[in-house]
Amino acid sequence: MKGFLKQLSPFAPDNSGVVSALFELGGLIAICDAGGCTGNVCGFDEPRWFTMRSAVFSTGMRDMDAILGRDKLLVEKIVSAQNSVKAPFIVLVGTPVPAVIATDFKALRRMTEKQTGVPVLTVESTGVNYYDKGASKAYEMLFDTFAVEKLPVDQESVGVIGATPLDFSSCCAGRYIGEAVKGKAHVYGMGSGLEEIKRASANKINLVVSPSGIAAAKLLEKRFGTPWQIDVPYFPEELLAALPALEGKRVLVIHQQFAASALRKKLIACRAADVAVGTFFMTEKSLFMAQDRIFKEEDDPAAAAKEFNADVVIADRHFKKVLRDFKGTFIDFPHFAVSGRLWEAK
Amino acid sequence: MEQITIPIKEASFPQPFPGGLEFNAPARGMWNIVHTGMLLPEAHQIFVCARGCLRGVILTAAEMNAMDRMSWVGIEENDFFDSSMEENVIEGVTDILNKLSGKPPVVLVFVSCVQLFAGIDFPECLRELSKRFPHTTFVDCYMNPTMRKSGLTPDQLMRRQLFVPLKNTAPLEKNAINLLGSDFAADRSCELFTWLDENKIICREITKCSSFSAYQEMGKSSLNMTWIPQAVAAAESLENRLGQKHLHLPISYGEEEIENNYKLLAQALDLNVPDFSEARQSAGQALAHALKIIGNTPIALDYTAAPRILSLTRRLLEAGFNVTQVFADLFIPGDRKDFEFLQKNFPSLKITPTLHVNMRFANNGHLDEKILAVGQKAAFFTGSVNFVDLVWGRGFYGHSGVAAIAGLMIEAFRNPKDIESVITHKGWGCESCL
Repeated sequence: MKGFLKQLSPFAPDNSGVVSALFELGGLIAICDAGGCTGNVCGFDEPRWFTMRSAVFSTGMRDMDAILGRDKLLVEKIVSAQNSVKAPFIVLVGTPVPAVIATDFKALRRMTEKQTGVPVLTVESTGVNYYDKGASKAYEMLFDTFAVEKLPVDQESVGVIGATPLDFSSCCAGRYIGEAVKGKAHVYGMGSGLEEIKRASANKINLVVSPSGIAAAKLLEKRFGTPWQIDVPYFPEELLAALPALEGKRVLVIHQQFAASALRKKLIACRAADVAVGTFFMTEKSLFMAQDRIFKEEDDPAAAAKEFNADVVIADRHFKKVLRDFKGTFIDFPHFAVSGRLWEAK
Repeated sequence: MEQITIPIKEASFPQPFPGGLEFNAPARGMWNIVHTGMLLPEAHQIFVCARGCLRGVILTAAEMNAMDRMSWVGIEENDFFDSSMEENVIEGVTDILNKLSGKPPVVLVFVSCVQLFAGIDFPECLRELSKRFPHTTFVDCYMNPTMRKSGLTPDQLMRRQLFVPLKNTAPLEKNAINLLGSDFAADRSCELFTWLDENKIICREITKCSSFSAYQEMGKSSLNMTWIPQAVAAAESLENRLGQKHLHLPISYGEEEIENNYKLLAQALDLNVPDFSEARQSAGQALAHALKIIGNTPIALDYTAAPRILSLTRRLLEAGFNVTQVFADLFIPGDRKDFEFLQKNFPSLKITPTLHVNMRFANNGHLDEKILAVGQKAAFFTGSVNFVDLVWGRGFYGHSGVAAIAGLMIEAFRNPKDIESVITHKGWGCESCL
């Protein structure tokens, strides 16, 4: 049955992706929910919640707020919070209830902007899509709002879009990626903040490290002519150390598509016989090869491993449960959006 | 950014602070509906919800190594609008049950706020499922946090639904009572249980039931005792349905109220009022001993530590402890007497919210002096590594409960803990694979 999952826990939803992309940027993030979604986002999908004091709040929606559509009350709450926090911008994040009751986010944005005088981003996530879709909307809206000034291009400046702990399973991923990039890297949302986003037009190039960064990169290309390319310049040493032993093997990599495809290149360089990529998440056509698979149901990874005749599967160990008949080698490649597990905790 | 703190003399009851955007402190010891549902032995939980809602509940089950008792159906955007909500529940649950190797005696079926807003006919879903699986009891359950402030809260509902499968199969047993509503097994060293044992009264509680048949025995008890107001709806429902009498004996840390509770129970059970002077003295001595060690150290408590936080605060203050701060957003009706007492006798006691946006930037981790925190949120907000890891009273009751808490205070005062590793463990007392 569609949507039925028995072995795999549900992956991080789009509202978590929104928060993850914007978490470090200093905005006031208001999740339009009763507290449950915020609890999930902060308690399960945001590993920086304990250590970084980002202003992420629940709007504390109650049944009568939803039934009567008390937008004015919501705006009052946000304005009151903003008077304390004094954030440079405000984000309203959608969840299932606003999606069902058709909350008018545009009106909320106008009302809130008028009363607070700061930019308001409204990301209409629904809680029924995956994290990458929410992060994609958030990045696009962020750059659309703040990267507006055309600056002279700095030949050393490299933008990195799409890095979140949900994708890279480390709270230090921004630093690692930055160190791996040649030039002055700005890893947006993981080390580089709002001021650097405003200066995005100065980048010589933008690197897109996950599918959620594509829409924003295309926007910057259209607006400033900044070229972009897909690249994942960093993998943990532990994972890279396992690759040389895979010479001559047929390898299935399950992860977000850009990380899996970048790992494919490294595997081919290590003389793997062939490599297929499988993903439950967003994909970019240009990376897609004939043997690659987009997964919909939890039986799909096992079917892909069988069809590809894989000797090795590289994936979050969470997927081991659904690779029932797979008898080959399994190599763990944590994906926080899947298992909620960091490399640091491995 | 300063904390929003007011002296209790200026606080209004029951809500000292205005509502607004809400901060969710990373203290995870309090139980949620998944933990509570797992108390029902052999029950299988099935959540039919949006992914955003599922993520937390399923990872909760995963953390407690209970994935074999949990399944789910993820609903998609169009499911809200294409008249398939009931079908998703019926066919999803059917599919799951057909794939399970054995049929559970009870299935807790959860839907969430969105389906209820969209008008799902949940009773019809359960009627159809009962037809398809006549040997299974289906219980309607709700993950509906939008109802936190009207009608029965999700917590009250869950505690009520937990006892829906109880049936009246035999005459009620006069010498058997139930304790309803506690997340944790009651501390049986309490004088209450010694007294019940002496009078050959059996006290059943779901936390002690290792099988569904043991749980069903609770249907034979003649009286339901509740310790927390969140369990009252469960007991009232059972009184109506099974004829089991209900007696609410709220957890208290005050000598007089504790003994008054015992008197009420003695009356209900037609027993002589017991003499608990020894237990009362022991509690007093335990507090005096703790005071000698802790001295004038400031103490901060939070509402997650105990169901009656103001009762505990009052007892500690009356015993001479330097309680300076209580973290709480809302008080329950049962707190009123203690609230008024504290306003009159300890007017400078500080009340601090936990949900207020400013609390995101509370000065945790920068202590000017040693503080003893009681409760996980008090530990988080004060940044004190000397904290009592007390969640929702831990099953302590009566005089012995007071003595036990005094002992925990001494232990916490002497031995610092790592705040992050302790308070981020979800569901205090539950198994955790993390």
